[in-house]
Amino acid sequence: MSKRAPPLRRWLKPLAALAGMALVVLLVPSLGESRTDLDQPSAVKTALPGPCLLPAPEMRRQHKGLLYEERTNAVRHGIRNPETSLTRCVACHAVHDEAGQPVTYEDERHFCRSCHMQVAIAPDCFSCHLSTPMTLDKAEEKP
Amino acid sequence: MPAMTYAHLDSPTARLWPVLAVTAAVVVAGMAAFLTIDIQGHHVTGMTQRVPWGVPHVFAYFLILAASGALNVAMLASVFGRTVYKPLEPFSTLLAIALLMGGLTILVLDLGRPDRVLLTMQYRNNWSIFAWNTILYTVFLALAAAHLATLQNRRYARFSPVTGHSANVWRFVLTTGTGLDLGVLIARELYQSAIFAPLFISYALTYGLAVLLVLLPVMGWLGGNRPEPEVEQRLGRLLAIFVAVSFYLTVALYAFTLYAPAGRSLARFVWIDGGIYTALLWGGQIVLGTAIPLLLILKKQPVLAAAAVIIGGFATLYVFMIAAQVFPQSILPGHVVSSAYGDGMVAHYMARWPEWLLGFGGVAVALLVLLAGCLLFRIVPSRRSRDPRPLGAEVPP
Amino acid sequence: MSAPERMDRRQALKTAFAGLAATVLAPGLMLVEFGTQAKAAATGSRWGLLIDVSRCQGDCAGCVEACSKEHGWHAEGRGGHEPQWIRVIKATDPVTGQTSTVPLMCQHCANPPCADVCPTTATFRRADGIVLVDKHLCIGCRYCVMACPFGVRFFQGDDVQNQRTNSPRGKGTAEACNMCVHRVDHGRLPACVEACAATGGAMTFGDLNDPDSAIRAALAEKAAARLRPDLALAQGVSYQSL
Repeated sequence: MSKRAPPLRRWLKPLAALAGMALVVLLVPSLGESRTDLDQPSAVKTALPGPCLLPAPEMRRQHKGLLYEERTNAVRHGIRNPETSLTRCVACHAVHDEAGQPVTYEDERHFCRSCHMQVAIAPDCFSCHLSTPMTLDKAEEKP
Repeated sequence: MPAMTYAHLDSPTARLWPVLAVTAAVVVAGMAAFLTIDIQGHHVTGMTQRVPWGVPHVFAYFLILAASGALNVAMLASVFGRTVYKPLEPFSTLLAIALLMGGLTILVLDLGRPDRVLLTMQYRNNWSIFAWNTILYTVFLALAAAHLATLQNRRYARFSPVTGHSANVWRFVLTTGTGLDLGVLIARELYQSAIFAPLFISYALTYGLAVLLVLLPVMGWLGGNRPEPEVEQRLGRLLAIFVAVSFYLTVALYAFTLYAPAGRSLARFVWIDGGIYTALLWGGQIVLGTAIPLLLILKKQPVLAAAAVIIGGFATLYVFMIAAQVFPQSILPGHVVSSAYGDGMVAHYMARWPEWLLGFGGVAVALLVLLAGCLLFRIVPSRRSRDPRPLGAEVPP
Repeated sequence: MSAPERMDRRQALKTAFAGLAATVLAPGLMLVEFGTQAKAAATGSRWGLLIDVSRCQGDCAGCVEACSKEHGWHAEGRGGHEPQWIRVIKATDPVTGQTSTVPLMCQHCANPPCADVCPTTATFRRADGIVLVDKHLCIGCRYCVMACPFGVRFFQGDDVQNQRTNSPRGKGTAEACNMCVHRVDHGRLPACVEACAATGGAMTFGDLNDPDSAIRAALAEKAAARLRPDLALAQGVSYQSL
């Protein structure tokens, strides 16, 4: 039976590797820009026709849940509330470019995009939903 | 006879590294195909509104069926007590895992929204065979891995009968689920039939054994130990039985399902005037997949027979999956229908390169898992035993 | 470990769970008040569509154009890559030589094979009979497209631009006629029915469970049949003069 090295000697290499990894994980993020402004408005300001459903800080935290609830009600139960619909959000929060046209999600100035780019979470909504307000041609009459 | 031991597949031949490199390259190509389909959309493939499932699904179904059947040899060794096959048991189990992983890779990567695949767990529709398959496949992987662990590790060897029996039963449940994928569809006359369950079980046993047989000389070429010719001959005779049963059930499906007036035009299309589909049915399934293998096994060439079975198997599945989709659905039976959409007419399906690459990529994934497993674990029987401890049961003199 | 220490840990766990429960439930309680304003899905309704084939004028295709405009899809032609939520089929009786034009769309079955096979419940049948795809859950497996006996389900295989606000559609999901739920939920008619009323008047839409509805009256006048009755799908769409 070979003599086993004392515990510390045996575990030195794995521990060192672990410590090195932990150091990298903890220190590398500090190389990026510091996010001290999470509670500050980072989205492009738009001229809103009125107040949003909730104050901005709460809306930032809860809009995902609100949207989820709204979509479940609308799609699965047919309960539609125009006041809380995504259409209304997009319409109110539309950002316009120099020509006065609302920008789509492709544009960095889009309301949702401006915030979501900062927090690096890609919302999936606009692969299906139109990211600009409803157009006014006949086919798009408000129901 | 010296004890059969298992070794890492590391002693051979420089042949292994080029094989690994090529396999990895095909995997990368498959990934490129997946990215093309995912980013640009399925319109770059040949799969259309009339033919939503195409060549990737043919590959996936073949790999999944073969995965279930690849356990044949392992089950013969453990559950059915044929100790002559014991040396092949770990290889057979690993092959089952590898093939299933390859098939699942294709299925998941072909989805329109593969990032959402976990939704099948969060929002399960318990009436859906597809949803059940997700559980059947994952449990099968776990059981096969557990069985492999009992074979590899002496401490768990006493659990081997449990894992072996469980895996054996589970693969029949799994293949029934795979067969019912098509068997519950009322949309096509060819599909709605309970016979798909035993039919696909028969196909699974056939294709799985064929894949294993074909890989035996390959592993020998790569440095493992090829079994005695007698073992391969016995497996060849078993393959012949499976091929015959598969043929019988296929004829039964076509005869009994499509004998009814409602199915006659589809039967006529597939057997007589379906062009490529008729050619694949006769040339691929009947000749290459049934007649030639039986002849070759009679001539004591089980490996060549197995290769023919594999080609025939792809042809069989291609006909099953594609021919039934291109054939017009009977929306208004008794009427002749036509439309700008192509109702009433046979649709045209031509697979494009992303589909072929995705399919071969899945095969390469399976091969890569197999080779990696053989390199990392002691799977392949070897007489050049580096470790004098015998792991498997000894081959009886 | 002494007994008082264990009690503290239990206390701590209880507080933690209470706090967690409060944090999880509170947003839900807030959301309830937003739901009360909406009009609930009509309970007890079964929406149906009745098509009198004899009134369908062969070369009209008004329903197809209206649906296409309402939802933003474009027909390509020969069963290629474009969806065709509604299409007109020419059906000829080989014995009599009579030809009818039959608009074909999702039949909104009461026993929908598409909903049965969908692994994520994305395709589902609403309580009011409309079968539709919840695209948030669709993984794009196309099993429902395989399962439909009428070939009226489609898979979106390309990026969609300029979606209709009321009909979100996107790459990688399945789709089909949804009986214009966004209109029906607000008491309007589907686009195809509206367009047909201006030309042939072949389509009638209404609540099959309401004995006073126009669709029930039309059904009482002339017998209607469903497509493929042998499949026992109990579709909401039925045809007269077939």
